[in-house]
Amino acid sequence: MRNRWLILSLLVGFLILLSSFDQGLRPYTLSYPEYWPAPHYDLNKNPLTIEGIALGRALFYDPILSENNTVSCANCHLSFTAFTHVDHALSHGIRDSIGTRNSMALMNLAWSRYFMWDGAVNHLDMQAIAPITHPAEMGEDMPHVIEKLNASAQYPDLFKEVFGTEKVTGEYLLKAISQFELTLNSSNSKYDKVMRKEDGVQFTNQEKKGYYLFQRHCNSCHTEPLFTSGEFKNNGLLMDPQLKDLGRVKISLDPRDSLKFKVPSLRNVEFSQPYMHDGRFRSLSQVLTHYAEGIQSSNTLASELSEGIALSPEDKVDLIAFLLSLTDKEFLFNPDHSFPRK
Amino acid sequence: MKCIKDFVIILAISAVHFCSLAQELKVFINPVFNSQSLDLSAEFEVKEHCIKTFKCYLTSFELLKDNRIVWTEENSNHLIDASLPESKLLNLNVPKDLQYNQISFLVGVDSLTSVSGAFGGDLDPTKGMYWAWNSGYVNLKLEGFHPNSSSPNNEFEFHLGGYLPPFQTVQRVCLFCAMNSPLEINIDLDTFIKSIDLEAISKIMSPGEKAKEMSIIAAKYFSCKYEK
Repeated sequence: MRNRWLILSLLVGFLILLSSFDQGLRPYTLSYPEYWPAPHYDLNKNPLTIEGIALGRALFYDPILSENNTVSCANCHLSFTAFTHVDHALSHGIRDSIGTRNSMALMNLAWSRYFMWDGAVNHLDMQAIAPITHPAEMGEDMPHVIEKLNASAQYPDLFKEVFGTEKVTGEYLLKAISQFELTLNSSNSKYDKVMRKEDGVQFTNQEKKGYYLFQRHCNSCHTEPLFTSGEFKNNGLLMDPQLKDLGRVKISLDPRDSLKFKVPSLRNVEFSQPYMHDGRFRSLSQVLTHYAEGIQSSNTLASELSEGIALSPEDKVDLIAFLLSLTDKEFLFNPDHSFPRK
Repeated sequence: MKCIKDFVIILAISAVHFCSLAQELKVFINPVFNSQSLDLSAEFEVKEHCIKTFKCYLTSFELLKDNRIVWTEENSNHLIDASLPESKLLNLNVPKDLQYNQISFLVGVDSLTSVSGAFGGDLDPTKGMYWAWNSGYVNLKLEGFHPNSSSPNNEFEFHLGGYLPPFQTVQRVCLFCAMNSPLEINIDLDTFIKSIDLEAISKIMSPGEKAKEMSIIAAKYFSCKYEK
């Protein structure tokens, strides 16, 4: 019996594939450097197409996803700043509400297993639900968003084109947003070009010294080539007495996760200030001073930081020079990532 | 391209005919409250002791013969909602002449599905059974009013979910049954509510030990009318 259904499923799948050709959907191949690991996201469950990515991009920049149609995803995730919200320690949303955390930069999301500073979201598809429904971010509820999209002049046809569905559903809304987000990939920084030995690009002596320091002191958590291990770590920050944010433990309910937060990628770190989950540091220099002199000891402190990181003033300058080599202007100023002008 | 498509359509129709060797087993899920079938499809009216919401996921249906699995439903995800009468009647396509004497299912959504992204149908995250702030499905939602509840205006709200160890809440239920159709599976909400100390606990809104304990209790109140 199971085999019969398998055969039927295969045939139906083949039909769907044929009908997708008929619809003229153009497949999009996610490309990434050969020295990167395989993506965590299962692209077979949400095959990328040029049309699907364009739909996701339209939704990403459309305030229709917020309760009063004023706030879009891009409000807190600006393309020119590595898709994060700069100049605010804590990101703000609908009706100038202030949240409790610094928005995260969005890039190389296909390689991410958990999302949000505490890993509360376990899949890229489901991430958008959190900001859409958060009262201080977009303040909407999902059924109402779907109702608005179904009633709009443009979206039903776009969803039909991409997913072959008569109605916009939660599943397809989320998959469309994922399609766009999956294209936000940064792999063309100076660091990448040096690694690829491209066009004779080389580190300066200062960057070389910084890279050496990075590999010695930072790489165990901000692991190359994605510059994050994807783990949760307590990096020795003193807990903000007002926010009282304990991080991962709220999700895992495991006391060993107290004060642990997701290790963010350092790619494009030059443009993604402020830093840390609560945006307490405004410059890379302040960050390095924390690691050199400000580590707070606790039971859950990352073992790598138990002695702090000994950095001279020269070391800090060299390290920052290397960190700036992670800036990828092709990513930051990619016109395919910005507001979709018609 | 058209020839290929026609060929595939013919093949698909043949396959459907092939699959018509199946028979439909209707399963009626019957939440029972005040000794009556719970129907929340009418306009809600607050009473001293009443239920406002009852929803639960029943998934991964299986039929067994003497504890041996003889049939498994593919893509088996059903959201039961007491306010939607049609959601309480499940149509399972099982092979003709299949011999079985037990029916089994999960109360809740399994952990693999919980970490596998967006789904449609009953698993669509817009159905009000998905936690945004902490990924995962609410497996069972029971809300209402009871004089013993310690909450303001005597309300109680139990949203039972969580897939991460050690506080997984999904429960497998296995019941003896006859080979009747429709098969009626009752959920004894009267006894379930009586078993809860509402003065001590009237709300569960997140995963954890209490959600796990109550999920284990809830699973005990499923029974099959034709149980032998």
